[in-house]
This record gives sequence, structure tokens and C-alpha cells, in this order.
Amino acid sequence: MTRPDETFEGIFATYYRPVVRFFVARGFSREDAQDLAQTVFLQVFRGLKDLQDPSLVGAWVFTTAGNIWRNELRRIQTKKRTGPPPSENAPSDPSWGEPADAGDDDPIHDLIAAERGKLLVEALAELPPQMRRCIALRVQQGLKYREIAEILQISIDTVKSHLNAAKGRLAERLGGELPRVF
Amino acid sequence: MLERSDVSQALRILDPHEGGTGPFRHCTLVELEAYHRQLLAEEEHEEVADHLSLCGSCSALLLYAVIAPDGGEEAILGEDAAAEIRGAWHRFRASLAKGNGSPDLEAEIDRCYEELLDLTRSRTPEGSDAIDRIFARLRTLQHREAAGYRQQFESNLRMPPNAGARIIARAGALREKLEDLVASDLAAQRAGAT
Repeated sequence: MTRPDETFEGIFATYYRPVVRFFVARGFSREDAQDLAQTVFLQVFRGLKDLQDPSLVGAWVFTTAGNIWRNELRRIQTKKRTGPPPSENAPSDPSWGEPADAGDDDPIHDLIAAERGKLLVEALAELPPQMRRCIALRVQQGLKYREIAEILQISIDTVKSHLNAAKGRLAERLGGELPRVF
Repeated sequence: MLERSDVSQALRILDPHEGGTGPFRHCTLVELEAYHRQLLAEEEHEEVADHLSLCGSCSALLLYAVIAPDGGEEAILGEDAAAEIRGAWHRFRASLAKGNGSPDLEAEIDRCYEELLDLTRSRTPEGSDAIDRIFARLRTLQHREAAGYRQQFESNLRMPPNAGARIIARAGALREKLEDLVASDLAAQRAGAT
């Protein structure tokens, strides 16, 4: 790939299809992905003056795409939410139940959570770098095994093996608490 | 049971950017190409890999703009990339112009010109004030039109090749029409006098 043309038309030509593909890979139809890509470029165009380092325009385009994707997900989720809005009497409705995190006010509960969090941070820090990267790409970015393999330039089997090994090590470090998170 | 959010939170603590303990810089397209082709020194390669694991923007840039810019197993993009980009670019320009109100602006400027000509032709006593008002309005609209082009220029968008010439030509055409009107009026007055 050549260095992108520094005019906005050049930026558009370089990143338009990758951005469409970004949305298609997240389950949008081609038409919706094209519409969302237009929104991305409108936002990028409007904020172009704020970009201090033009060589980072690609990362900026995809940061914008990521923000628009999250907003779109929120919009879709809000739209999908069914049932009437809570009425004034809703708090007395037994189906509402007690708040799920009632135990959060308990200082012992907070202490245990903090201890466990500390242990987890230590356990993750002790993992070999490639194993930790696999977890981050899987848990934080929600990527597929294939995508993780492409980014880290390893095989899909190696990704799976790293994630399984990490699971075992974390469980061992956390006293047998097996994480079913990746 | 260990939750996904617990792990995510712990990873954020380890993230040098989030923790504020290290430098954070996004990757350029060139750096990612070098990473993808394994042209970086080992230490740099590791740094980029670390960054990619924590930065969704750069990992997306690598996946969609470097590794498979036009295809991939989920890709359902059109075959003719150039035509697709051209069409999308025209659509983008149209929506940008709509957002800036350019077509409306041009139409309004045209209306001002028409009204000026009509008022000059009719030569009513109250027309003089109206002409002044329309000229003031016209100046405001032209400033706005010029500001729109300046914004496009500053944002590196290619300027319409004849943007300035178009404004000057329209103003020149109006002036010529007004001069013709005055000339024909003078001629009529002279003919009436004789």
C-alpha cells in the first residue's frame, strides 16, 4: 500500500473500504456499513483541524469508526428494548425486586473484591507477554481467534493454546476460581 | 466466578496509557505495514504488538487497512473498488455541501441578483432602499459562501477548480446587466428629450 494522499480525497480513498469492512465485520449489512462509513468521514472531516499529527489520521479514522459503532450499538439496543417505560408505581412492583448490587455497600464485600482485583492484576502481569496480548485482544477488544492470530502473527491454534494456558494459570493464582471469560 | 469485566478492568490497570506510567502513541499506517511485513527491530516489533493488544483503533487499522484492505472472509464489498470509492466520494461531497448549505446559498444569491435587476428595471422611488438592503444581504451571503470554500481549503479538501472564478463571474454578469440597463435608460431619456 502506498502512503495515503494527504488531501482529504486521498484519505477517503485510502480508508473508505477498510472502514466499510470494519462495519461489515461487526454484522452490519453492506448498505448500512456504507452509510456508517459516510458518517465516519463527515466526523473526521469536521475535526480535521484538530488533528495534530497527520501521519496518525488512520488511527483517528478508526477511533471515530469505533465510537460510531458503539453509539450505533447503543441506539439499536435502546430501540430493541421492549415493554412500557417504568410507571410511577414501578418501585413497588415485586417483579422489579431488590437492586442486584445490594451487597456493594458492604465493606467486607468491597474488601474481598479489591483483594481479588489486586490478585488478578498481579496474575495477569506475571503472564508471558504474548499470552497477555491474546487475553487483551480477546477480552477487551472482543476479537475472533483468527483476528488475534493475524494481529500477533501466530497460528489460530497458538492463540487457543495461549488462552487455555492463561485460563489455567489465572485459576491457579486465584485459588481455583476458573475464569470462563475467554 | 471470574467475570469478563474483572479481567478487562485488571488489564486496564496494566495498560501504560490508562495507568499513566508510560508513553502512548498510536501507530502510523507506515509503522503497521512495517510490523505486518516483519521489518521492525525485535524491540520495536514487541512494542507495536503490546500497543495493538491495548488499542482497538490501531488493531482495526492493521486488520482492515493493512492486512486485508479490500477483502477478507466477511467482506461483501463490490468488485470494482475504484468505482465504489468514486461513488462514495461524490455522495460524501454532496452530503457535505448539503451540510454547509451550499446549494441553498447559491440559490439565495441568485434570487438576490434577480431582485436587484427587477428593482433597477422598475425604478420605483422606494426601490432605492430595497436595493441597498439587498446589496447588504448579498454581501453577507457572498462572505458566507467564501467562508465555506475557505473551510474546504483549510481542511485539505480539494477546492472546486473554479470556485473564485465563479463568484467573480456572477458578480461581473450582474454588473454588466446593470450597466446595460442604465445605458438603455439613458438612451430612452435622450430620445424622449428630442
